[in-house]
Amino acid sequence: VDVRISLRQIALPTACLVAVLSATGARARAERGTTESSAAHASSGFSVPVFYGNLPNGLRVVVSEDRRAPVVTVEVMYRIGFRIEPKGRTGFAHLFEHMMFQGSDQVGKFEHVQIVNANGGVLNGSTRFDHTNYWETMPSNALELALWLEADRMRSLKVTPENLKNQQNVVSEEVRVNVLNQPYAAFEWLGLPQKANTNWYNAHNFYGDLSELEAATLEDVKSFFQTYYAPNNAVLVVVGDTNSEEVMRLAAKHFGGIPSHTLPPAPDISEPYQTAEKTFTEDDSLAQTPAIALGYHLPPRLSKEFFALSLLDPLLVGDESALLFQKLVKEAQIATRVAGGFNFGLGNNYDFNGPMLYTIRVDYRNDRKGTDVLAAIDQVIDDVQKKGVSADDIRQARVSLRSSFFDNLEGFGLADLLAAFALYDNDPGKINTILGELDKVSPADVQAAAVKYLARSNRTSIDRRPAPKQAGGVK
Amino acid sequence: VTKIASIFAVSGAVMAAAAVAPLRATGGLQASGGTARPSVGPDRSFTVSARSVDTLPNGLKVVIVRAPSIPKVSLVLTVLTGLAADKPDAPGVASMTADAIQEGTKTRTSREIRRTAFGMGANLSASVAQDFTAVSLRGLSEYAPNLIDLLSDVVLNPSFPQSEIDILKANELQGLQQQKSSPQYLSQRSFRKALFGPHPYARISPTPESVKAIDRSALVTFYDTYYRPNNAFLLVVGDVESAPIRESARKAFGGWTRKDIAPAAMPAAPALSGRHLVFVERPGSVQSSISLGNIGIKRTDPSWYNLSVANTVYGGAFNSRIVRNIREDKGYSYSPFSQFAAFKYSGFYRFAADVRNDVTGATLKEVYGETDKLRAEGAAGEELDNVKRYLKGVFVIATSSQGGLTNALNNIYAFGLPSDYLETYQQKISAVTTADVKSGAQTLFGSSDSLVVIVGDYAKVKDQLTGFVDTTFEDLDGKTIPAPGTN
Repeated sequence: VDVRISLRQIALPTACLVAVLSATGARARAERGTTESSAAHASSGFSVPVFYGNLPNGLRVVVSEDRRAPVVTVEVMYRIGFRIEPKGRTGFAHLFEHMMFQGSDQVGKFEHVQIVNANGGVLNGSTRFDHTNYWETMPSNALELALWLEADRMRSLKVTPENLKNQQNVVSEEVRVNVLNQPYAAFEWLGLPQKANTNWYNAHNFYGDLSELEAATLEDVKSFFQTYYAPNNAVLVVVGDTNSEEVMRLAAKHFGGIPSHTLPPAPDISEPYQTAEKTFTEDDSLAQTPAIALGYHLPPRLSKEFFALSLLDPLLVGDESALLFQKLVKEAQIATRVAGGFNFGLGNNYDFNGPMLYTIRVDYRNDRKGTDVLAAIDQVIDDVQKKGVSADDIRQARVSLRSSFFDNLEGFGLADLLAAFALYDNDPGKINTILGELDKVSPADVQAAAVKYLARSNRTSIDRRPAPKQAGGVK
Repeated sequence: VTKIASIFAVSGAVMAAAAVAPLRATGGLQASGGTARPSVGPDRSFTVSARSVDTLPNGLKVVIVRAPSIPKVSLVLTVLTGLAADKPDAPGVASMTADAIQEGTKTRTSREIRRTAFGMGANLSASVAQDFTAVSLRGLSEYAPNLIDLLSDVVLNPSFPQSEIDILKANELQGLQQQKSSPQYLSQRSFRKALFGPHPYARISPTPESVKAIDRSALVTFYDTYYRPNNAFLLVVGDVESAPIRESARKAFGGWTRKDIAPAAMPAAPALSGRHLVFVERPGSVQSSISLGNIGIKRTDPSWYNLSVANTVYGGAFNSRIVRNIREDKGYSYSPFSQFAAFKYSGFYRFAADVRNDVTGATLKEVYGETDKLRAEGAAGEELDNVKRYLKGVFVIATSSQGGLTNALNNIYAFGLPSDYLETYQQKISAVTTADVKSGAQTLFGSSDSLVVIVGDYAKVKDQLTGFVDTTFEDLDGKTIPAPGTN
């Protein structure tokens, strides 16, 4: 099926070149620099070059030049994620992502993969709360080919009943291998939002009920593509061995003729304030050992309180020196593993744009109860709420966050963050300034945010225990 | 690590390659206005970063590479001894030794070690492979000298506190129990055990009994025997200059004392004859978790390049024959793949996939069909060219990141690869011919001689399983049991 028909011939570039930041610090030393500028992270002197432009059809374009290796990453991020997929079609945003590899006007089924691999590249796509991304990392001599591939499937999608059926099967197997046949069933990232949230958009099964995945039709695919897959609902990012002039010229050539759409009004995804603690217990027929996951509703992304909790996160669960690991694993010896974070299991602190949980997962010992774990966690949190954290803790947390942030600044990680900052904040330059926000947070801010957001009334937990064994094995 | 909601997920490093069918446009309604497919420009040159290699008087090799993509540094202290050195009746000592050295030194408690790392934006970890143990500390490069000091404290001065060993043992025991709930783990565990028999590569994890038996002295003895500068190297990769790092490393590790190590004696891995099935009974499974494969080659075998190409054609890439067949054509599985693993003394190849119960037999039929085809015909023409281009491209992509470069360098020194491995990799891949792929496939990819492991619900799939010379049943613990439903 042809889901989209292109309307005009290629228009050549009148790209407005916006924004600009300058290269100083490590990248400049390494001669990565461009003429564009950037504000370095106050605390490190490190920055990445960022160019931000757009095409007349509304496609935003971000370029970060790096000439050290003959490699480029091309990413297109669309502002449609599983949060607002159609009701009655749970899992559809992700199924649709698979359909984007099933053929477009000039590219046959799976040929996208074939072409990228055959030219020395790797690729993937993923569906998240508020966006879906598609990317290729390739030798830089194939840059234009990668742009052409992405443009062809933004302009036109061609799926057949056979291809849809094939990918419904593949996605069903994906759900089985990652959820239905796994112990814990991905409860910390898939189950918890369904229990903690009340607005359907935030609280449905994002991976999809198999019956609803099976029910998807070609009409659904066509309608979803026509609604959300438009240049004015997307950002194109290129990082690596190229420059902004080349990318803008090629983007205009291949994407310039794709018409913009009128986008539908955004649905109300707000999540009502939670006023009482919610606790759930689940029997797990595949698990051999228990685990508990808990989630606290976070303040709005990039708010002052958000940054305060960003700093508290590594002190609570960042590593084995963190408060909860020390309490649960070393002191009380009731747990074997502690992990957690913002957007846990699906992304990072920045790549979403809506209600979000702060999640903690604890794998605990068989002879203990989930309530023991919650009580020990509460001791730690109560202590933070009463006494706060020290200035030295905050300083070290900043160092830790800076270090983990840098881990995201190579290849696809860099492209994805730039895309998120462009898509959600219209400011990819945030990549060089966001850490500076953490410098403004005081110990008192952290304590106040802990009191307000790590309150028990703001918490939902799922305690998942091995199901009692039945005669003849587990059912 | 979750791998959710991606179009494709593979365990292991390799993804993708190869085009068999000529590229074609599909028919039907056409959108107009598309631009013409661009050609690919000439290859751009690729230079491997210069390496500083130095050997301290005590025998410790120090390798430093400047890779300034981000202001971080990876320090890896690799001891050339791993899981394979565990005594057959006492598996678990090698891995617990690597854990225990992180739990206290003469001057730092466990928490102080972690907190010192935390304050430098660093994570301390150890990974224990068949033939080596890599203790890694990765943090902000501005702290590089202090990071070297911390790593040397952990490696040179461990105190093995009994209270920490008790916690490690308790957590390991629970971890073993938890692992048994993962069908992918069980499939790999039973595959390796059946394939390698008496060879140490048969083990990927200890047993509850062997963990309970570990005491402090076993860890201290293992450490004292193998953690020696003449049995190790230090790798430093990141945004650093080599001269000051070399000086820091010399100061931090120069006092480490050498001691001779007796060479290991490895039993041969047994040869397979016929198709064997091991079925791990996991009632309630909605998928079969399949492993299929055979013994392979050691890492330094000259045919490694041929087999890398053959495996990529077969199932080692997204655009491989296996994925095109059982995923994109048949829809049996989400992430089928094949793994080509080569260790110091031997190796294996393994196809793995999770498939819904009712296509278990059909999957085996397709995989054996692909095996037979590769053995009979190898790969040629455009498909072969594409796979070689894929491997060469992925090599550049991997070595352009700090993490990928660190892994590649670690393999060079852990397996004793030629020092020009990075510089010659691409030309060696280019030289692989159709005949090489065919002979490689005939050496490696077993069809009539092979091992299949299925983790699943036997009653739901048993009618699909035929053609095996023998079938062994195991429970989740790996103990042999009677055929389910017959007792």
